[in-house]
Amino acid sequence: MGIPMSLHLPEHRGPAASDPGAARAAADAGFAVLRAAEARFSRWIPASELSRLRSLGARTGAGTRIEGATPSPQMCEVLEIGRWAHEASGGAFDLTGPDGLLDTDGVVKGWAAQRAAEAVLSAGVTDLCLNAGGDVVVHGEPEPGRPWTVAIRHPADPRRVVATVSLTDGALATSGTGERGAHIWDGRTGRPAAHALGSVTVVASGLTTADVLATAAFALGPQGADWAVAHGASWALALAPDGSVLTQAGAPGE
Amino acid sequence: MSSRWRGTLVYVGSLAVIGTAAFARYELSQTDDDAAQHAAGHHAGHSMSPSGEPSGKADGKKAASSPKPSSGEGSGGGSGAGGGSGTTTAPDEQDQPVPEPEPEPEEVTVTGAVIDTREGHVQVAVTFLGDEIIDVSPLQAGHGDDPRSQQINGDALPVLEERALAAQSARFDSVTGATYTSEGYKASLQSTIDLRG
Repeated sequence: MGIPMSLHLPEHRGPAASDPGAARAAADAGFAVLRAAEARFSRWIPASELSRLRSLGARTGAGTRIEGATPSPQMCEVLEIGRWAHEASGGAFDLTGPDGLLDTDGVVKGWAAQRAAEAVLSAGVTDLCLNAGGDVVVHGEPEPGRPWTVAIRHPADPRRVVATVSLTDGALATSGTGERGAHIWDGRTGRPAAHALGSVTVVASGLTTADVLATAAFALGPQGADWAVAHGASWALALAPDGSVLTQAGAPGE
Repeated sequence: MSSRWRGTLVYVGSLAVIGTAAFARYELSQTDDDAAQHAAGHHAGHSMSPSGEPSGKADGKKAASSPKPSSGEGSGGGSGAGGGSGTTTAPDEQDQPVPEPEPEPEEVTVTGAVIDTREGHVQVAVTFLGDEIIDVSPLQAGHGDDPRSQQINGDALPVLEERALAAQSARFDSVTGATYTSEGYKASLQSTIDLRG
């Protein structure tokens, strides 16, 4: 995956306030989830399950068939999410990499970060902000009485912020060409998505959903914001490359 | 544990540098109103994973998505330390001692390669205590002329980001939408790890 991760545990209550050792253990549990996800889903680790499946010629698309292998429950879960997004987006979302083989990155980043956040919460932490390469999960409050405030970056100029969203429990994901080059593929054409769209930001109850919807919405184009809200997002914002608002759908609140 | 905990706990890591990524802790009490300023936080280094093969993974990643994995030093212009790949300096005076009362391994600061990104040059200095990273300081990030742009640009750097957050918490807590800078950051960070050996 190769993305920076940060986990922010405010100390106004819960273990982060009373027991730094427990807070650290909770953070360790979260990062352990991420490490396990990378070990399983990295294309760059030859022994990973994904690499094994790819070496067997695993492809995906409308129906995933992997001859000669029994995918793990985690792999099946990820493939199922990918299949759902593929169908819901009319094929715009696809887990096929440029080489024609299975590539789970489109699901795993958000899915793993969401699971990591859940691991931290289940260790007793009440408030957190997990940022996985620009996709964000928040829970609780950064300080008493104030929701988390997450800024949406300008699609072409990382030094500028276009808008901020406040929420206490939920997730935001952003897809765009500016992040890491043209990494959004339109599964319908097998080419990088290309249109007058700078980025799409999606707010949903969890990051698995937000990430997949943002990716698919970006591939779909400016109408993707409405599509995302129709498929489980609470709010979506499509920005033009110059940072102006193209479309907005739903409401950022819960 | 340290008795000086206050404010906020921030853990920073990168899956690209598993095995060498640092956990960092910051104290809000030292909140600086200029995030571009070196904020002298207290950092307790902690290796995320002593096992694994970090450089192999990072190399694989870079080969795929980062155009110039290790040729960054040639492009270093910018301020002062350009091309400082391989420089080893004394520990920064501003850094406070690490609050772990263990037998002290050697503390060494390694300056990474200058990586050219679309946002400008990125260069980091990493302080190792033994094999652990205890501090990562951005030497260059983006267009250095405008302190404000440097401050905002700092959000792109996993470590600098948190300093910026501490300083700007009234404005926002986190940022959605990743950046090119993080690639440059990783490349420069990785070069310090390679140099450290």
